[in-house]
Amino acid sequence: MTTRISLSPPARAQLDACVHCGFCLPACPTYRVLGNEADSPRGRIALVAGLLDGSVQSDDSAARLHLSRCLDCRTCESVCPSKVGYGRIIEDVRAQLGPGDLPRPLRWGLGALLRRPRRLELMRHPLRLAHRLGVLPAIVRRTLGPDAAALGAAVTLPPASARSLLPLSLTPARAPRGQVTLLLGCVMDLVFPRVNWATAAVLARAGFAVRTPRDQGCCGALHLHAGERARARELARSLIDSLGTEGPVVVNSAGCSSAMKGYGELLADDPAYAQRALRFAQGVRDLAEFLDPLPLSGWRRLDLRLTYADPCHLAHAQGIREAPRRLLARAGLDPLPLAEADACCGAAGVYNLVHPHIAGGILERKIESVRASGADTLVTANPGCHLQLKRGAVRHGWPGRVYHLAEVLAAAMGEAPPEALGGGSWPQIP
Amino acid sequence: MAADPLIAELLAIVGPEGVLSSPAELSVYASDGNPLWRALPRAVVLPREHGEVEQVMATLFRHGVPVVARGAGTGLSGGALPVPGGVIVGMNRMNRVLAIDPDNRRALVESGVINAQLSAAARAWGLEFAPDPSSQAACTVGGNVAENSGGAHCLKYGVTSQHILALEVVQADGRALWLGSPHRETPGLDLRGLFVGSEGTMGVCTRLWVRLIPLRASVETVLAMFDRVEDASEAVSGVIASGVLPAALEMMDQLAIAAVERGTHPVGFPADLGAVLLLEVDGGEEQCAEDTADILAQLQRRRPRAVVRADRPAQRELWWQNRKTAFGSMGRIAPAYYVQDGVIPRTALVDVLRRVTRVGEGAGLRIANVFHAGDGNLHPLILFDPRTPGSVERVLSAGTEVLAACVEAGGAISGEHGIGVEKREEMRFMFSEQDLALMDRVRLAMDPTGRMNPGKLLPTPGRCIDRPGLEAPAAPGS
Repeated sequence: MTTRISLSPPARAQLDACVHCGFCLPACPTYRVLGNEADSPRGRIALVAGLLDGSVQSDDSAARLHLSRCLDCRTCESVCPSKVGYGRIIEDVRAQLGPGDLPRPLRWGLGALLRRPRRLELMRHPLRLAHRLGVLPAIVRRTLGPDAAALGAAVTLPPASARSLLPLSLTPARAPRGQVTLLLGCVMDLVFPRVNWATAAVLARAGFAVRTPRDQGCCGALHLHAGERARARELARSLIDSLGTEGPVVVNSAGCSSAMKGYGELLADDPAYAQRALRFAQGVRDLAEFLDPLPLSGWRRLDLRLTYADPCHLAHAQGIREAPRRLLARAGLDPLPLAEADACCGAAGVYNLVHPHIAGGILERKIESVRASGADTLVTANPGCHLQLKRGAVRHGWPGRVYHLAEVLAAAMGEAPPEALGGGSWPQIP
Repeated sequence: MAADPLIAELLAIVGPEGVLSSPAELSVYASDGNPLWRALPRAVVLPREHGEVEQVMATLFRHGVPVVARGAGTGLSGGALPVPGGVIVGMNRMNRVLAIDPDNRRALVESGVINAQLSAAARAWGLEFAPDPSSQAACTVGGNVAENSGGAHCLKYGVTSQHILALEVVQADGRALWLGSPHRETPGLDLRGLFVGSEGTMGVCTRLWVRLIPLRASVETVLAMFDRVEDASEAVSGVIASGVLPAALEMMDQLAIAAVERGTHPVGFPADLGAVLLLEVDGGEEQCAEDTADILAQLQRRRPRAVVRADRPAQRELWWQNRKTAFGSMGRIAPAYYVQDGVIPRTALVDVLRRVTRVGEGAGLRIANVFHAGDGNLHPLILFDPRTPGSVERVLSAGTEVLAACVEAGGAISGEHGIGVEKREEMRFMFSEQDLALMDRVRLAMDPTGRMNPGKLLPTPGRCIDRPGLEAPAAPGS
């Protein structure tokens, strides 16, 4: 069925700013792997222009395929001389084309599970049991395909969530210099609760009281990228309700902080929420961005040769590149140079499950640059990248460890996580 | 799709991911870096190996289909514009550096390799590829060959042709041959030189040996800001007359500055600046220091508002990024632009600029100016909104007027962007019927079928010479 595609005025303005120069081509991860201009930002903008003027039909399978193959990594925005806000265009169009090729179980997962974090939490024990019995890979393979199974095999779910362990409000040892609200996230607290714990620990060491409201849900970033805009709006409204607008809200997942900074625009036409969404968005800080200007002390020496891979939604969508590197350097862990450090790893929300072949090619290129860097530790700042990079390390035989920035900083401050958040490696003070 | 026997044959050669034939995908290839012209090809083929190109070309020969080779599609003269019923051979998947020979300062590359990536690879050996068009982060070396591209540093190091040793070319009938030699100058006719700048009319280059130059030992970069374009122009003449040969000498006027300052790499130029000059000298340390002193003295004589020397590599890098994204940043100040590429004697700079301004005023169009001032290569960027009825015609006719002014001042119609489809007719400003007829005969000697990028580079056939068989390429599906 053909639908008439149109762009909202802000997205239309972005499209009109493109002068067709082609500088975005070599920066685009899918173009680099596929070599087809229809899989490049300029090509996708041409497809969108065709949808708008009616020369391309909205049910055209080729157009839908190439538009769905976009990672929404926004690397192109960093190199565009005219600063075309490409992400705005692609998210607008995807919202109208619908989630086309999302596998049904994934759609169900996005729709049902992520909306209620407690439901996601209820899955923890059955999943752990299935894992222990050795039947989990088979179940995941049958529902989500072999790539999801491989992704799942790269991690073990810890016994507990940070949500269940962290106090409602964590207070620092001395009189607090202020209060922050921490986003626990959905995937983050299921798979990497230790990162949430480490984030709270580092914030407390920086002198902040940390609030972690229990009824907070998912931020809707995954839905937004997958073209489920209505659901994303719904999630944004309830997150604003549960976290409040007094700010600052500290976020340790680059994809989430990027989406939450966009709430003002996402809810601009909702009279009940427009003002609050704008105020909420202004208070959102990515963890690295929040910590960077603060005095931090009590560093201990960690014996790591680490490198840092920029999450796309931190470097390209938010322009935060130096803050994480500066924080690592302050901890005495100056990152080793990494070729194409700000190139996507192929995770991109649920992209690696929908387009495993392309994501695999992108991931391989990433792991090979990590290998060439000579590092034994890879640091990132987003759960999707974290999972994908762990999986890449296993698949391509890179022996190093992958950590979130918060974990490395917490360890370098001498903090150690409780057992319930999962054993496994923790950067040790030698 | 499957009903077209040509597509089926192409699929058999390059596989399903290598042939595009759906209307949506074809629309992506409808223009190159100049979206003023659009046309849909019959198919796009994306080979990965030289052998595939030979087979593809032989197949297209049998079907009598016109061929347009395409690199990254960053060209500005419509050189890679599809020919209706023709096939695009996209070379961008053949993007490997095959060998670097540091002792002989040369490299063997596939033609789809990206210019900046070749230089990045060569840098490990202390070498680089000299031609540096502003689009170097995206454009392919094969595209540089087709257009005989220049770049900011061509003032000192010469255009692409000076840096190409040998080319492997698949001809219209699918047979391949090498032009030139990787070793040294070859006797006989310089077919290599003939091919460079032939804009895809003589065959498809698949692999080539390029010359590499040593990384510059010492570099000094200077920014000079002026209140008036006239002062900046005089400074350019002064610098060149002083005997210094800068590696680069670039200029931007007020409107161009307004665009780059809203773009991705703002330098922080004051908004009321008339013009800015970006100069670079390089060489041995002593020579560099001496040249810099001479340049600074020349600049000071022309009442600059400020002169700044780059004090660290990151600053130099920013200044160049700012300059090199000038065209692309026009989207910040206008919905579309059309850039001309005239060349004039440096001494005529002030006069020609005045004429360009008058052309803009006459047509009611804003014109931003970006030039390779050192070699008199103008890039007037005519700004417009394609949705305004009649705007494209006005823009094109203003462009033609600008070129006429360049030729009248003793210059040329193209410095580095090529003729493409855009300036075919303006070739008559520079060449007689006899000149054009000779070029046409040479072109037909290299491609007797007349199927290689027809309708580009030379004026429309029939008006300068009768070329049977070229006006009507075989119909699709024949």
